Amino acid sequence: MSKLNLSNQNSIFRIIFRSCMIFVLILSSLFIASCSGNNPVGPVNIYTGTQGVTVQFTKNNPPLEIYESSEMLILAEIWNKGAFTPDKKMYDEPIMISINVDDVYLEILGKPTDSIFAKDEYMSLYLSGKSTVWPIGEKTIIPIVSLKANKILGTRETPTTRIEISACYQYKTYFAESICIDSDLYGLEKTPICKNKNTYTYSGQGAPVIVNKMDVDMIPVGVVTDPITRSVPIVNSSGGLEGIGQGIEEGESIILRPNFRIYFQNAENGVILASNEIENPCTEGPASKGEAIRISAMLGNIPLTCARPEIKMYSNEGSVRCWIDEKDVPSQFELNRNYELPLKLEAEYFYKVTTIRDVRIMRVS
Amino acid sequence: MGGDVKKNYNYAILIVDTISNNLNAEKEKLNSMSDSDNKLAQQNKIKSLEDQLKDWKKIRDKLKKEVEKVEKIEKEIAKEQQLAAAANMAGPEGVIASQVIEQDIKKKQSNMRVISEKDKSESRTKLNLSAIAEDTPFEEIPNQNSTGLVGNSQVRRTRGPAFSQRPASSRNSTNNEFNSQRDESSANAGWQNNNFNNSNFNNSNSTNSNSSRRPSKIGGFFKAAGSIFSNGNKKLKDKIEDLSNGEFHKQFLIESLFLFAIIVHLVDAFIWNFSMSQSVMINRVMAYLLLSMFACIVLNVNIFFGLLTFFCVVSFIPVFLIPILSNGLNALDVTTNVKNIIGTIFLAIPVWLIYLKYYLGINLDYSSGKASSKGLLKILLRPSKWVGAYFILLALFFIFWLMSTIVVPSVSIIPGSEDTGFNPTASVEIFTEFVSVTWKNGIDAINGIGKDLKGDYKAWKNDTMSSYYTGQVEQNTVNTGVFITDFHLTGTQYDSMPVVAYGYVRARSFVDNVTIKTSCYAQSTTNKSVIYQGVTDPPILENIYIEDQRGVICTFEKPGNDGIGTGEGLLPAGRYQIFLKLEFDLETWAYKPYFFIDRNYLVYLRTSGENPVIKLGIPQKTKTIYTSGPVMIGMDDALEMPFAISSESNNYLPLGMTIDDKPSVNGAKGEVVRVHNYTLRMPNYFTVNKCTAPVEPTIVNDELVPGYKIYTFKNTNQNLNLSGSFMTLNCNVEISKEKVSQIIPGANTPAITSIVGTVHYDYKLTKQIPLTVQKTPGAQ
Repeated sequence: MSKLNLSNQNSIFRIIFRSCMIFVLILSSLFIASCSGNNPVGPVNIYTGTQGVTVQFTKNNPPLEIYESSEMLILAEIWNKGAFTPDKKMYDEPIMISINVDDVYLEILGKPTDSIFAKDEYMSLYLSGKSTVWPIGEKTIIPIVSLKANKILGTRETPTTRIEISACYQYKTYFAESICIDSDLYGLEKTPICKNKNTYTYSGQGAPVIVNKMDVDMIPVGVVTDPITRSVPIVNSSGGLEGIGQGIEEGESIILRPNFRIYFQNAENGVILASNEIENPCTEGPASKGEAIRISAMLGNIPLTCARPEIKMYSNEGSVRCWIDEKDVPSQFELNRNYELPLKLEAEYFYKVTTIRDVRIMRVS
Repeated sequence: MGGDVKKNYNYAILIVDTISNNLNAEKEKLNSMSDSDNKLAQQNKIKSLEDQLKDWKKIRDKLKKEVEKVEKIEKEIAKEQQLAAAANMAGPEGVIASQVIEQDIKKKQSNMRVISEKDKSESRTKLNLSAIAEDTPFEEIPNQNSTGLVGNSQVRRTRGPAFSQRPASSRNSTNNEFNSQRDESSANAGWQNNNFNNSNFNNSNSTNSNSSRRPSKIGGFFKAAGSIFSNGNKKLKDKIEDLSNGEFHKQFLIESLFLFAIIVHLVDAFIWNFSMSQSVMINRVMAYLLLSMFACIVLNVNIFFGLLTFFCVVSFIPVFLIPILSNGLNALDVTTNVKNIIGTIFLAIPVWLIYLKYYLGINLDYSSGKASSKGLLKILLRPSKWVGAYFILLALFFIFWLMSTIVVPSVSIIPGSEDTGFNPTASVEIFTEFVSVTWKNGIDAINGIGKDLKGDYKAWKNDTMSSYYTGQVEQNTVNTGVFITDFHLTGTQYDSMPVVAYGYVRARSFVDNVTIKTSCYAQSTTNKSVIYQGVTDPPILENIYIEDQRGVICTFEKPGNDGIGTGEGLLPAGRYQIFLKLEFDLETWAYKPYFFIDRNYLVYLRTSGENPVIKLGIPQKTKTIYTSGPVMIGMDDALEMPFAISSESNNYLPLGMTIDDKPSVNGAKGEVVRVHNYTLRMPNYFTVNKCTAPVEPTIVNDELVPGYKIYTFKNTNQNLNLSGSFMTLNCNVEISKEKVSQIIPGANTPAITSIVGTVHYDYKLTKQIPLTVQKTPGAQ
């Protein structure tokens, strides 16, 4: 009887112990799960997205309704969401903010009334782009200008007018891709190191103008006869080895010239401004050259030659063909071996984004 | 159901044949008679029989038509039953189809029932009357065949030579199963239960009694009551009968709903005036929501489906369509006349109301909430008495509304007369006035349409010549301008007393104080050359600003000794039109925004296949907004944006401005008497090169807008008005190439610049009302 009781007590303790263990296990697993997190620790790829510097009105400024003869300070949120930092190395005004209003309804205070778009009327700004230590980019809310609503002209009760703020800046798109130099044209290698994909597509590199597609062709431009000195066994007449001698073997190598067609796209709503080395189109008045970007590219250490250095954009799209000059084709391209080389590309351009807000002007009386 | 109709038809044939045979027998008897007294009596009897025969033939013919209808429906039902059976075999979709067909069959059966009931009530009445008149029961009708054709031998009378000679007592005491049971059945429900069925008809006798048989006196009472009931109150009786199966209940509720809906509609029309103000909108939506809920409950419709359907249907037109249409018309600047007519049409034809009553009331499957699409078409094609009832209610409501406006403390015109609070004479006067004014407004509206069409033609004609420009009126919370909001008389006017009319003038302006010169006159309707000048107080309304309402009193009285007035009546007895005239000067302003862009950039955008409008975020065409008032200003609305200018050569902007008058509102008539001047305000860097105006503009700097100039074109023609015409100013504006860099705000950004046009003019506004001046009682 007592044995039975003891056995029962043991089984009860065992059950309680097991329950406690299970509870502790569940709790531990929860803790562990919570510690694991969803954000892997490591470098942040800042070269993603399609935005550059953006300009926005703040939520309630300017208000949707303003009274005649009243003054207001226009605030704007400027945010460099791209991966490039416009700096003073290129121009004195890395980011230029301007405002555009209808003089009948609004007056810009503290500015000449004839034109507000002279050079000295721009407000310049410096904002860092995205970086590993600042992955969202730098943003600021700044007062742009003071506006005064004119007394409503005539018998109109509540006219509506628009306020436009623009940010104009020079920007760069950085693009890099590992290109497979694929000389195995006939698929002889059983386990090649890499294979040329021919077409690559992309969604953004942290700038408003993006490389969205690239075609890569490995064009064979010739074959070279290449004598190779090799160690050759010396065999006697009976078939025995007499020694090792040097022999010459006649071989052939294919000469490749990698050829790239790179497609660009204006992925945002802004306008690309054409420029030259001297003028800053943000301040030089009307753009008559259309939308154009300038590019430079390298494959490994070899600079690529492009069909034209300035790419005209039509319907927000443009493309260019780049290749390696014949004189620059390196000897290793002649080897019948595949290997990878980095392609680096920089696209430089001026970009202008605008934000609009319609405001109603109310009569005081 | 169909069998009853056929049966009745057979009976009618039988009765016609019987009476016909009797008539022939009586005629033969008459021929054999020699006694002149008996002959006269016999002739009367024959005449009576002939009348009966005529009546019964009519009934027979009518029944024949009904039978044909019933046979046709029966054939259709048979076909549809076959279809339904076939559909049932075809799977789930077929089952649904068969349900639909069965519903249709039910409807047709219902129609047959209606025909049957109608037939019963009519022929039963006749049969009762006929039987009472004939005063002779059938004893036996052997060998009745299916066609109802019987020979003379098939009908025998128990006693007496003719039906009418049979005494009532004898009729009741002998075998009068036919009459007594027929009358009871009249007081009850079914025609098929009466004694015209074959068995009772053939075998009725005193011994063959049953529970429905009554003693003779009681039978007579029921007979009489049945006659009255079946004659005069058939519908009521049927409704009471229907009460037992719930039909009356449902019908009653539907009609209640309909009446409630009418009230809501009339309130909407008369009190809310289909307005779209926020508070009215909320009230209206709540009213229609309530109506929809009521409809759901009454019709026992599925609450989710029903509420949505009812609310959408019931409230769609008055809540949404009319205000939106009205707003849309405002936006399109459609004239008031057209808007008034549209409002009147919606008031007069409450489409949704008819829909509610007929479509939902009759054709809705109450359990599922499904409705037949044929219903609405049926209603529209066959409007019935309910539409008439609506108009009667509309008239009653209108009269009620009119009376409620009349029942005001009436002014004692005649010294010593009693103020009763309700002056019937005044009510007639006001009613006459109302009808007159309404009629005039209607005529004005029609004329207005003519004028609109004329204006449209002008616009079209000049549009093709590129010299008529349009604009869009600014939507104000309260319109600017001058309005005569009311002009009325009170009480009866007598020739010995001064006639006084009261007017209310509202004005709103943002620029200057409006000064209005007032005047009034009366014109005889019989001789229009007879005009009496009245005196207005005040003669000038000064300093009206922002929003103000002022009263104007117009008095017609003879001047007294002091030269001012004595209270003597000026107007002799007769009928007149009184005119209140306001003269004032006003300004109308128009604002046209432009977007300018560098020409090279525009060329680049076009050649690269980009839409500059989308690229720059600007409208393709900018609207000219002009301030509300009696004049329209239009400016180059056809010009597409952005307008390209170049720094390589001088640029020219074509600028057009049209000034036209608009129809007046509130039943008043307006006219631009004279145009003083018109102006153009534009930036300094624009130069007006050449204009079509007959005069050169004067140019001054705008003090209100820095950087702007005002070009003023003064009108030297004193007679220039806009009555029935318009004027257009075309200018060529030069933009110097040197100025382009100042205009274009940096690269690839459009410049926003407004040009403002104004016109300053004299305006005359007139409103008229009818007046009847009566002779003073007792005066010679």
